[in-house]
Amino acid sequence: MLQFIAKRLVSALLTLLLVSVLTFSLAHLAGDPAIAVAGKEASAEDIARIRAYYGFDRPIVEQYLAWCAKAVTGDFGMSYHYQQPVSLMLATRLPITLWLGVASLVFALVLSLPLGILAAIRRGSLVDRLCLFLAVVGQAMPTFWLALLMIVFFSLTLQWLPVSGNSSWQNFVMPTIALGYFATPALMRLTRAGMIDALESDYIRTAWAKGLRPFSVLFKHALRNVMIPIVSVSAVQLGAMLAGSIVVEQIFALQGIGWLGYDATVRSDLPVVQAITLIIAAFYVFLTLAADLINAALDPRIRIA
Amino acid sequence: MGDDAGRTAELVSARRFARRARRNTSALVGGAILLAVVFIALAAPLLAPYDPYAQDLSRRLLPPIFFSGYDPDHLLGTDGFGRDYLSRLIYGARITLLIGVSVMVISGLIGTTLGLLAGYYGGRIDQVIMFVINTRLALPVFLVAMAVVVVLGASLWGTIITLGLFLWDRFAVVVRSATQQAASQDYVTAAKSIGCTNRFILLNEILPNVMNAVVIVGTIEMAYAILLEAALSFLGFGVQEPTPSWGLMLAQARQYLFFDAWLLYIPGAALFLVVLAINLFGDGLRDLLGLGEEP
Repeated sequence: MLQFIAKRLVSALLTLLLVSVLTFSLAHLAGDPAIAVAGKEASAEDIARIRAYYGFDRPIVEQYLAWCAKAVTGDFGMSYHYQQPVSLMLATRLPITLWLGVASLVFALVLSLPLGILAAIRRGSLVDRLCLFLAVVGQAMPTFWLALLMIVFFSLTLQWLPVSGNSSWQNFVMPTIALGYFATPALMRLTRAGMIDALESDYIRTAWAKGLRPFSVLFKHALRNVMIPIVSVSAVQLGAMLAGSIVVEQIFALQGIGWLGYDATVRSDLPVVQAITLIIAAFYVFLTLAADLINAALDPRIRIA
Repeated sequence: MGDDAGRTAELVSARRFARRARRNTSALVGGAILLAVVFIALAAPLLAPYDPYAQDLSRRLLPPIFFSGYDPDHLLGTDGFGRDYLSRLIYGARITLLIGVSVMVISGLIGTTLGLLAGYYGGRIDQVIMFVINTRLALPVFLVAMAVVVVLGASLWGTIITLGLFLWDRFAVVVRSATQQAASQDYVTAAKSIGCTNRFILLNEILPNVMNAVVIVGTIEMAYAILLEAALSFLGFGVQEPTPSWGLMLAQARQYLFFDAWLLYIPGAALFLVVLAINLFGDGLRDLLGLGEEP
């Protein structure tokens, strides 16, 4: 087990390292960062002063190492546009996106687990076919179109929910649905396939033969086997949601990390874009690592591999 | 006893057949819609009633046919610049298909190559390629794509290249495991024993056997590329005005949300229909090629 954890940790750290190199070089591919800070009308002296101030005149490797050393301590430099520490900007935005991501994942699981289990139990029935149909339709629905349709229907026509902002829980209802439904088809198919596999296996037949109650057979015995792929995919989906929150947050003016990422890209505010990319990647790496460890705890066979 | 087993086998194959037939309807429906869209895209100059770029500010925001007071000259109405909505929708199909197919080809080439190499050689090469795949998965596609588009300049080809360089991960993962399976087959061992080069084995023995998987992943990535392009264009980081892209049409429809929400319905429905058709077609294909539930 220890060896397994160590191996996974090393590969997670290496991944983050490569991501940091890529993120850093992206900013320097974008042209002279000094001009980006100073603006296009700035004089040559101004640009030279800014270049010296931000250290853009030093060798690129040195700049990268300096950036990394600071990033590890949580210092991502100053925003070019807002002239505030990037870490401070992130700290105020991050909770909103995390809440949105977690709520969306819960929404997706609450929808997909029961439907997937039901479809597996009543395989080939109307419920099953309806679930598969919903999965196919859901996968084709563009997130931002659904978001706009919900605004037209729930905010403008019915006037039930506020169009935008982040002042109350009501502001989170539509973004949660818009972000969460996209993960639902994959999770539901996975649950259904896993449950069908489990229900046909010998140990479930044994469980039925022992006369266990259906609840116990379905949830304690069969579902446990389904949970392993669900945990992995949920982790990946949560990571994808944090990244995908850009469109949803932009539409609903929910001012989280995604909104900030959009805003920073529009303004070419590179330190902010770099920091957000790195943080979302770090979350993804952390989530997949956590999922692997949870699965190793759920299924001892994984620890050896 | 033997009779029982025979009947079970018969029942199983009957059920499989029924399932295939049902899925085939989805392949048929999806394929038919796709063919229609391809036809519309190719014949756009013949089908579109107007020039999709021609503005007529005296005829702005005319309602479409399913509303009262529509103009028989503009069946789907006109947009905020007075451009014929039907013509823009028809030309938009070209952009959508061009993006879907080009991104699929670029990412398919990258992903299949990586997957073949990792699956066939294993060892160090596999480790390095898996590491690259994991890194790619950790990068937030949408944000990085936005940033890269800013660097390359927002344009049709900028969007295609960016997405092509990002959506190869599923190809690589799927082809890698398909290659691992194929490489352990007897015909590969036989080819090795008669002295075939690795290059020959990869291209002539293994590639044809993983092509099914590549095609299935291709449909998934094509649908994904279309959705991403629409979202990028929607936020202003993709195809630029005045090119008729469905995502861009949705972006412009946004300012008329309050009074002319129909501007939103038409391009969105087109986008939804095309992606649905690709998904249905892919699902049907997956079943026809006998590749199980998920690739």
